Amino acid sequence: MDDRPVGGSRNVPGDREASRSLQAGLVGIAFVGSLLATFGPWFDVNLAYLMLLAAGIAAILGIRWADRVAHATGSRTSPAGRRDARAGATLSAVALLVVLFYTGILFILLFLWPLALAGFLIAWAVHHERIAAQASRREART
Amino acid sequence: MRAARVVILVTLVLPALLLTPGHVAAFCEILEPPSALPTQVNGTQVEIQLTEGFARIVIIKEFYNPSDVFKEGQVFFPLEKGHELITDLRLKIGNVVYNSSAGDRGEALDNFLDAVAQGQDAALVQYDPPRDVYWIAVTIPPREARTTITTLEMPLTKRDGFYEYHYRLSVDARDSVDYLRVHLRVETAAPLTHIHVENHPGLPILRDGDRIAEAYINDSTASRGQDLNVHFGSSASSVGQLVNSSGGRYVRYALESKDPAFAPSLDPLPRSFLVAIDASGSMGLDDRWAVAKETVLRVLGDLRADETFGVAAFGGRDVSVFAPALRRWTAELSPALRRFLDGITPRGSTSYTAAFDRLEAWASEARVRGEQPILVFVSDGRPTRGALGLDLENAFSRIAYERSMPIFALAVRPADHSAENLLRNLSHFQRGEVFTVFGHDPTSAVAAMLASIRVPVLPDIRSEVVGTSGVEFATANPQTLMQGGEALVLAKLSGSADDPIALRLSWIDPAGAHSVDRTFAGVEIPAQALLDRQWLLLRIHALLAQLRAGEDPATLDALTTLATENRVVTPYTSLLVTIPSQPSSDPAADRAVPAESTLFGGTSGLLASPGSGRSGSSSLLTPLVSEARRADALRADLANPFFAEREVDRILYADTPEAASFAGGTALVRFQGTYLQVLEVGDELIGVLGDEFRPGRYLQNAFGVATTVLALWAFVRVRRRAEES
Repeated sequence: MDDRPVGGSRNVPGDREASRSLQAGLVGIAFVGSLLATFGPWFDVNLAYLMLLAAGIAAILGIRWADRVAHATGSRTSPAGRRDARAGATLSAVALLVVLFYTGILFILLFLWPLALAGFLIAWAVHHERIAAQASRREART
Repeated sequence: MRAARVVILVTLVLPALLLTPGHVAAFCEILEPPSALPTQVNGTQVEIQLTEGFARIVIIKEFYNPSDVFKEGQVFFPLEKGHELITDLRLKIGNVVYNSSAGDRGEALDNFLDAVAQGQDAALVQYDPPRDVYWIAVTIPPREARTTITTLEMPLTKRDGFYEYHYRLSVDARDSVDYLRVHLRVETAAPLTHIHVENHPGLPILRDGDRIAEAYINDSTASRGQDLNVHFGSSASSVGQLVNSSGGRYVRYALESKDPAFAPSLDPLPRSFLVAIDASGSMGLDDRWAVAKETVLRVLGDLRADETFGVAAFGGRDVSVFAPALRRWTAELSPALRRFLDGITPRGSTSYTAAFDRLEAWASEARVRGEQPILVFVSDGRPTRGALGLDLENAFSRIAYERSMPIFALAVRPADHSAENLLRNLSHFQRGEVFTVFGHDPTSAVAAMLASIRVPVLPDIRSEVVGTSGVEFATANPQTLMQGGEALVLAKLSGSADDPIALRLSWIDPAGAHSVDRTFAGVEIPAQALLDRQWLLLRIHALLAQLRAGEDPATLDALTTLATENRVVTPYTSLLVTIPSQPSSDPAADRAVPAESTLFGGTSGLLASPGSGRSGSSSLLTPLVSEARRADALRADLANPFFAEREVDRILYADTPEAASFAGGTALVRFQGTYLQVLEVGDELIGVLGDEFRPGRYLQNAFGVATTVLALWAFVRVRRRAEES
């Protein structure tokens, strides 16, 4: 078991992105928690939208950095880095779900689920296509 | 027929009587059940005629019914008890003016209801005993106008050499849609030495000779939303007369208190200050309590050693008194009084009548001691429970009249004009005045109040017309002379204007008997207009005072006869105008009571939060927008004046058995919000909270705070370790 501290190592390139992913996920969760803390008579809808926007941006960045770690070669990322990236992706996904819920986008997606599913599958396929193309370019270079 | 009358009475008259006016009660309020198209006042024309000791005001109001249903306009006149009386009513339709007939009160109401039932237009002016107000009911067909012409008359009292008349023009200016016209005419028997109109310093006053002055206000803007205070005086003429067409000779003679004849006998009655200080929740805000305490100490500091005081502080259900009985004032009491006031924490609801039992007992005690009770009311002007509006004015009017006690108010840092205005209504018309403390120093307001207080200086002055029999005095005999006032003789006698007249005023003081004798040749006595009306008004007031003391059939008969003959509205007589029926295909349909004018008229008169009126489905709202709406409603609920000014005595949750018991009881809803209500139950204001105010609702906030703290703590650790590695 790798006992390096959480946060990865600057010396391994993939670990830096894993650390960023985890930090972004935590920021997303912090914004979502702050939003919940403001509910009640002191709630301000403009501030709430700002916090959701910030949480959403942090969550997307967190997922992107986690995704890059997931698709990186084994030499670029330590096992601890992979673990950080998974945690970052999970936290980011939770934050994103909360953002989608409170903004109502989640309900739109559920209501239009065939379109949402089709869009998701297309995006997934494009993403995998791009990853595969990058991998083959790397192999060609080596 | 009787049943039909009852139905008409309930459907037409009582709904309006049962409703609370939408704003602070004031002179000449218009009241009707809630309606999408309420009766409007197209315009008001006021003719004010003033002379020495007398005022006649003719108010011409044009009502318009913009709806498609038959309506009844209602005008309420909370008249000054013992002063104003309604002495004529006419109804104008198009260019035709219909006069009223006077009659017994019950008979006039029956005739009015009969006329309404038969499809006739009618107008009735009558006294309403429960509310202690006079009201005019006018029937108005759909999309038609009706104009009422009402005459009020009142005696004026001289003070410090001047007369003052106050007309609540601001109410007319607020209600009149199209026009507002006021004509003021002051005409005196002796040369007019002084006239000015307070609140309207720029108003041009046109002089015509040395005894007549006139002024005009021709629109609502010129009225500046202010009342009209006319202050005038004539050169010290003491006598006037009028011989009317029926041969009656009326003589008026006045001798001011500053006359040298009175000087050796004047002995001001010691004062007894009965201080009622508002210690409710709102007085704890904006530094009001500190100012109020200082105000009370300064007021009492003016008392002399032979004068007494009582202090009652009321807030919530409690009334605290400095001492149960009146105390003589000494400077040594000041620290104890300060400790008493310091020991009070302002809290709870405000009932302006909460301390009345104590104040009435003190007023009686002061009378027994031979002192003049003076009620000094210290408050911010925001009553929240108990008697409000007209009922509150009437309660103050009653205590002032029955205890012969002027009421002065000190408004402590009032939040707005309406709060100050309420205190004005409660004091100005009860022989007192309001003085406002705007800053933190009450010195000038207290000094002004103390300077305006007048007490009796010489009791039991007897009037006599020497050598003449059959004299009927309208003025009290004997009478009491007030500080800065005048001894007044107003008598009706036989004879012509050329006959000489000898008048005598006599009194006894500790030094012995005194008298003042004056003889005037008939040609020396100037003519004075309206003296017969002045005599009549004073006579009727005297008879009403006798009836208040005890209802004697002979006095009642005399009053009814006098008032009916002279067309004066009293609690026992009314004026009625009926118009012949107009042809109508379906009068019953025309007179259908509008659907919206239900008996209890919804929530008119209640405060309501914006959130409570929200409508529409919330199913399409995002959770964030739903939360925003909930937050708006919560904020609106919490901002209601009862909560914001800490006027609520007790708080309950809606699902408790006690709160449930209010539903079918006599609780009065003072505020209806989305998630809370404020109820007046007994002698307290109770806040009833919905589930939104339960602590469990705020677990999500605790969860949010905990999540944020944990996430930030983890973020800092992750960042620090990343930098270290």
